[in-house]
Amino acid sequence: MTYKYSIGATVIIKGGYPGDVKRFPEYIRGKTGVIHAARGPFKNPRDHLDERPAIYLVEIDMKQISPSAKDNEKLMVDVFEDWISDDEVR
Amino acid sequence: MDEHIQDDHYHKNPGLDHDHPHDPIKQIEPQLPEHVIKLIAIGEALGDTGKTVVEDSRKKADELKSKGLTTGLSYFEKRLLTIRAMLQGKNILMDRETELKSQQLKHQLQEQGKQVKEFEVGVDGLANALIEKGILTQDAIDAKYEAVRARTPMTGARIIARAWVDPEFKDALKKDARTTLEKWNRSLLEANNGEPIDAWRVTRLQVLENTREVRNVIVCTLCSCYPRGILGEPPEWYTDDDFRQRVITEPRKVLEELGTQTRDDEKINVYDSTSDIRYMVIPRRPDGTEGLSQEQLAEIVTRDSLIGVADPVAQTSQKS
Repeated sequence: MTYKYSIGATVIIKGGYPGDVKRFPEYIRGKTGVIHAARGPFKNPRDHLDERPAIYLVEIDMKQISPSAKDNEKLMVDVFEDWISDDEVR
Repeated sequence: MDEHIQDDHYHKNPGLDHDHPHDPIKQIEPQLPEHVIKLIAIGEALGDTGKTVVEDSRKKADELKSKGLTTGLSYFEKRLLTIRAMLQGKNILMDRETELKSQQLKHQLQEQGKQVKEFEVGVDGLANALIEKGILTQDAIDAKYEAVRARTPMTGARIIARAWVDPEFKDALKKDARTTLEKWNRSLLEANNGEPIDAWRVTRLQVLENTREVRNVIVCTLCSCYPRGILGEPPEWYTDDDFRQRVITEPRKVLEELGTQTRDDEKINVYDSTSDIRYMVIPRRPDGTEGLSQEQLAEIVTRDSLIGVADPVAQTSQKS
């Protein structure tokens, strides 16, 4: 399995409801994060009756969601490949 | 273990009033009430028929919630309502058929002078309607019932105890939980009362280690994803909106409310189980437990510590 994005890459989550998404945590929309792990794609017949895209574990600074959060508070979110925007970071 | 049954626990909404963050699993995790197990069994047996998928019930649960129809209900009352509405929505079983069965049971109980519990006749009525319609068999429900009953956080606690005493096992567990647990299958089977661990449920288990520097906390902001195969059902507060919404913005405050103080220099990673991977935390082994056996160590692991919101403390049989 080759992954489109590599570990350590900085990525932006798409805005809106990206891709063929059934369950999307809205609070990460448009946020920037760093990929920590790449997994899948899993066949998940019981949950979804279809194959899902690869999943990346993305670390997102909590500050982006909650201004009062500290630098050492992070969100670790499983993000499907098609939730990631192709926009270049910076 | 009958003295540990706490029926009421599943019929109230405790929010974050969490009284026992440090109590060992044996004391906080009673056997689930019979009808709660039965409801979970029905849901899983329905899934096995291929007529419904988890996604259906999630959608239905969201819909009921947005209409305000589940306000004030306990987690399992919501689940019962969701399954009924989902079956109706998919034209598998009309809600009035379930209602009829429940009413019949209610009258029977009343005639016998017995107490009627709405949740219980609701679950039994649903089972009867599904069986009569030929959608499920009694055997299918019974088999699932036994499987659900065998899932408790003691399995998770035994895994943690092994990880605490065996660094090689711990490293392997963190790298590839599934393979590691399969290799350790015999002990796991014993831990699960001979019931095989549902492979599907541990396929994508990721185990995270808490250290002095980093605390990992688990949440599912979208619903209540949880590694049920090795931890059983989640505590009710884990499924509450309050916890799910606030732990991603003010985790230290939420942890404090749950009885856990954090240090400012301690990094907090909040893991949101938004997709196919389930998480379990290896809590820090408390000081003063060097002389304990693996079995004794398993007994001090708390369910909440496996979610990362509490730390086990070195207490043995003496409760303070």
